Amino acid sequence: MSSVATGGGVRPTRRAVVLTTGLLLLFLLYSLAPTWFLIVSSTKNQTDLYSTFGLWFSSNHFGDNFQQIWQYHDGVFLRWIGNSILYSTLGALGSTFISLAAGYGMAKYAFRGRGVMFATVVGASLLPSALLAFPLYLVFAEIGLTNTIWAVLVPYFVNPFGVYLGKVYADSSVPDELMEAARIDGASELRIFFSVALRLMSTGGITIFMLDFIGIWNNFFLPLFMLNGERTFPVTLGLYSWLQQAQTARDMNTLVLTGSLLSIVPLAIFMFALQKYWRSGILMGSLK
Amino acid sequence: MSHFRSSALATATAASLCLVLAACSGSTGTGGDTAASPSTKGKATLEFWSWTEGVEAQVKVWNKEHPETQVKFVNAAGDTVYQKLRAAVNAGTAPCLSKMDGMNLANFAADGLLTDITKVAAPYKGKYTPAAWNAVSPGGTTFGIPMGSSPLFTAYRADLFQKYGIEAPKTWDDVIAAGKKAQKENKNVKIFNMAGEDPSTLVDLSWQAGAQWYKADGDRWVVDFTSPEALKAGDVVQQLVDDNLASSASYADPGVFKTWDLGKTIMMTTSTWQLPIYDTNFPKSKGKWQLADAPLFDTAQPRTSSSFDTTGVLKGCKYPDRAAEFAAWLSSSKESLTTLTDPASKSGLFPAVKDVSPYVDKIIPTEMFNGKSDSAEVITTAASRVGDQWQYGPNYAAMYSEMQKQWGKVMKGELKVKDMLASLQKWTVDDLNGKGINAVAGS
Amino acid sequence: METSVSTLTRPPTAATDSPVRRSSPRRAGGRGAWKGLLFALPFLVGFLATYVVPIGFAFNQSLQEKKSSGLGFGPTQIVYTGFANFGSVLTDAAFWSSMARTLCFGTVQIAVMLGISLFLALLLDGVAARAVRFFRAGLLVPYVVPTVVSSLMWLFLYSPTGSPLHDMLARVDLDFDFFGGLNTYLSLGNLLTWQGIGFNMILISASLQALPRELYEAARLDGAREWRIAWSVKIPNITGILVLTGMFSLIGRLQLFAEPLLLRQIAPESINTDFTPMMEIYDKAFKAGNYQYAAAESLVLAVVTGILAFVFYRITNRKMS
Repeated sequence: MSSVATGGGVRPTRRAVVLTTGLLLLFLLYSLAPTWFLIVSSTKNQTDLYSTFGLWFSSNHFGDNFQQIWQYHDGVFLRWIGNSILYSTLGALGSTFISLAAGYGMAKYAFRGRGVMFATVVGASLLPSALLAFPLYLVFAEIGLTNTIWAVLVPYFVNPFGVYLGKVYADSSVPDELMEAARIDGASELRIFFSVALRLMSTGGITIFMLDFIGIWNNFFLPLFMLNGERTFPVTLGLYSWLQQAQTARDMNTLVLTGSLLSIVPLAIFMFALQKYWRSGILMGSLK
Repeated sequence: MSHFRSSALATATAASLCLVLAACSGSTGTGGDTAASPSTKGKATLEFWSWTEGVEAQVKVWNKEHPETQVKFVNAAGDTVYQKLRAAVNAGTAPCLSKMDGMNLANFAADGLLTDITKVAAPYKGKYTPAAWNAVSPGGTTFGIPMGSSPLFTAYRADLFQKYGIEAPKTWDDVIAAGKKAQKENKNVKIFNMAGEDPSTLVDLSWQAGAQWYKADGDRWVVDFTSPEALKAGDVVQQLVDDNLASSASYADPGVFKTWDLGKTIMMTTSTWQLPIYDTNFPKSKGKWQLADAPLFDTAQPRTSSSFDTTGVLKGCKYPDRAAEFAAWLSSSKESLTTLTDPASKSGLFPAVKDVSPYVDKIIPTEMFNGKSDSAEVITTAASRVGDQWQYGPNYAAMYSEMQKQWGKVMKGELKVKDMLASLQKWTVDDLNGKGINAVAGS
Repeated sequence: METSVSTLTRPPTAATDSPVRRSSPRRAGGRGAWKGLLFALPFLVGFLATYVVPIGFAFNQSLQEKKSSGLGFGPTQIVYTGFANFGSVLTDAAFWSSMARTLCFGTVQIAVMLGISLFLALLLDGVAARAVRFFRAGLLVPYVVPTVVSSLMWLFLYSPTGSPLHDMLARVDLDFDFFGGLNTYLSLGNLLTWQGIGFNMILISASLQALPRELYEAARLDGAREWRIAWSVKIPNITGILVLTGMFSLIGRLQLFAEPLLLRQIAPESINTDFTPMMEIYDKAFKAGNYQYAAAESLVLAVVTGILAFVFYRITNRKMS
């Protein structure tokens, strides 16, 4: 950590420290304030939501909201959270594995067409994923794959940027000498990959997994196109459907707000559990 | 965590089950001619997509009473449900029945995605209002059964009307006059609200004025956005914009009810489905409201408008007779309607049948009104005077999307309603002709 | 938010690829080199299925139009009309203005966002390590909030009728319209910036920490002020990364969809259904039901994105070498 205080050079003045910390606190406030609104709102009932000041508490109805949210449509909210976890975990696992394998293949074997392939990967990773959602939808609709778990998982599996990272990690963390040594010991190429390379690339793998997991959790576009029937929704789409519903029959705002708050929790836990990799992994990926 | 895991497992199982079911129920696209087939025999299972609260419970009741015709309910909530329905028809995995609004029923029919049920549906025609039957029969062919209706009427802040010295308006001219009067008393007060995303205000006004944007005439469409009636409706909107008499709260704005609750806007168009939620959404103005008939254009020909929900029968449905039977039971039998129209069901459904009187009382919120007007009568009157001239043309949905784009500009005062109507007229005729459909401009 | 993942973390030196040179991969045609292809096979198959085929399929669709007859409620047929749809897209003013709007807005918003992120990263560089961890965690909170939820929160905060901010302003007899004219862009920009600064700060922070200390130790010993060091040593050394991140974020912005779609709920006059290219495509496909036209729009947008990416790629490549 390159903090000035330990820099050994000129110590920062007290005023500078106060100013720096003050500014950081200000932005911290900016980052957290909307979440405050969410917390306050989740304690209100429908009537208070509209008639009391939004940034401060009135009578506490969090318990009711909490209960309602689990009861609504036989616990569909829990199902959504479950779906989100399922899609994110499977999608990120699949994508990490496929990406590491492809990256490793491209980094460690000089087969014909490798250059073109790598250029395609870099090019494709520039294409915003949502752009392809509609064409993808057309194809999946044609073969009847829409509204199945595969309609979201298959596109998540294919992640050019992950392949790119996989290649960078394979390049930097799997020494050729080790592979040669394993070959001399008579290990097959597959075995080398599974028992040597994968372990060496694990930090990189976790980074890919983490980025994918968060990306999939937050994704809205693909499920919006592909999934139908509320029991298949991830939590983001579910909340959106509640918001939409407010216009047709029943005002769902208290549930929307409480649900929003709850939907952040699993991801926050996930993020902070992996905070260590967050730094080293990203650093490696972004700076190579 | 074990919660999550089991739920995840359940999803996986459900997903694979979906695949299996889809494979089994996949019909091979029998085309749209099943109407002529004799009534079906034996045990049948119909899939039914809907997103109305309370319908699932009704399906269970039906299933108990009709072992021969089992209905499998799918809650198809979501913004893109219609397109998913399209995809399902194309892939041969469509349900037999689906909830649709009138606009999309026409759209689906135009794209050949529905089953012609004119013959098997005929026995049920008499149960519904002509306007409702119109909505399921675009171009004269029946593709579904009416589900519910939302006839329009007016709710106003009686306390503020009194304060500003205005009376409940009978005609749209009265509305404008009342708006001006109220604004003279308090310059921040608006008489009406028109949302920037929602051109349905113009649709409703045109419908009430007796306009016919689409009219089937033999084998061609007469498209008329600029008839005298349509222009009259447009003119009301224009005056409301020009004189700044309407607020512009979006109906999708989570705080939209505050607009009226705080008395910034003092009158609104409302309908049956909204009534049950008013008690919670108007905490400050409870007991200060009154209902009135929708404002009219011509007191000699009182007309209001509605939007209809329907149950469409999709292409590939092997049992259109049973589908129609179930849909008719759901939306016309006393048994089903009594439960569905109860606010406790949260369905928001109001029947499209001829006699609505048994279902009115329960939907009237208890604390909302001041008791000085007969709410039930307003509702039954509205249900009985829905204009039956309105037709949905084959490109109505695309036209609506086009109108929606221009409507925002009208609300901002960047475009005149008259010009929008003229351009919609041209757009609609061109679009229809481009698709190979006969259409001419009406005026 | 998915974009930010796939674009913002993009390694700045995508092209230079130096480690490959360091190592000596098996030569082309050498024993077992084809096995590399085997490792890439799952990806390649997936790529074919989710990139190549859909694009081909969309292209095929975009050459078609749906025709009907009579009153339009009879059978329909699909006819090939060549490039008619593309012709309409190319002359569709609304489509191109949505593109221009998104790019112009994106440029400014991303510049502001990266500016703030850089500022924060520099500030973090100047506080004690324990505080760094605390601030980093706090500032990253918006990143873990799903796009839909963050849009929702701001939607409530911007709501012309329900926002507590309006209530607060009203207490001091002020009012601010969050939408209309330039304010629309400020509000949307604020939402996107709020989502993005934490993540970008981490990236920039990482780059700063990777700078060799010798670079500025000398200046520090000479008694140069911290801000001076930041301005003349730290920033110039990470400009390349900033520019690259900025450009790729801009490409990502072309798919802007969920945020304006949600904000439209409270500002329909300001955010029309064709506000961004993706919204326009969505509307054409799923509201108006014109798949063929939407497919053509999708492809044109993909081509424009491709061209932009290519241009940026060349520019930065030249700069780097």
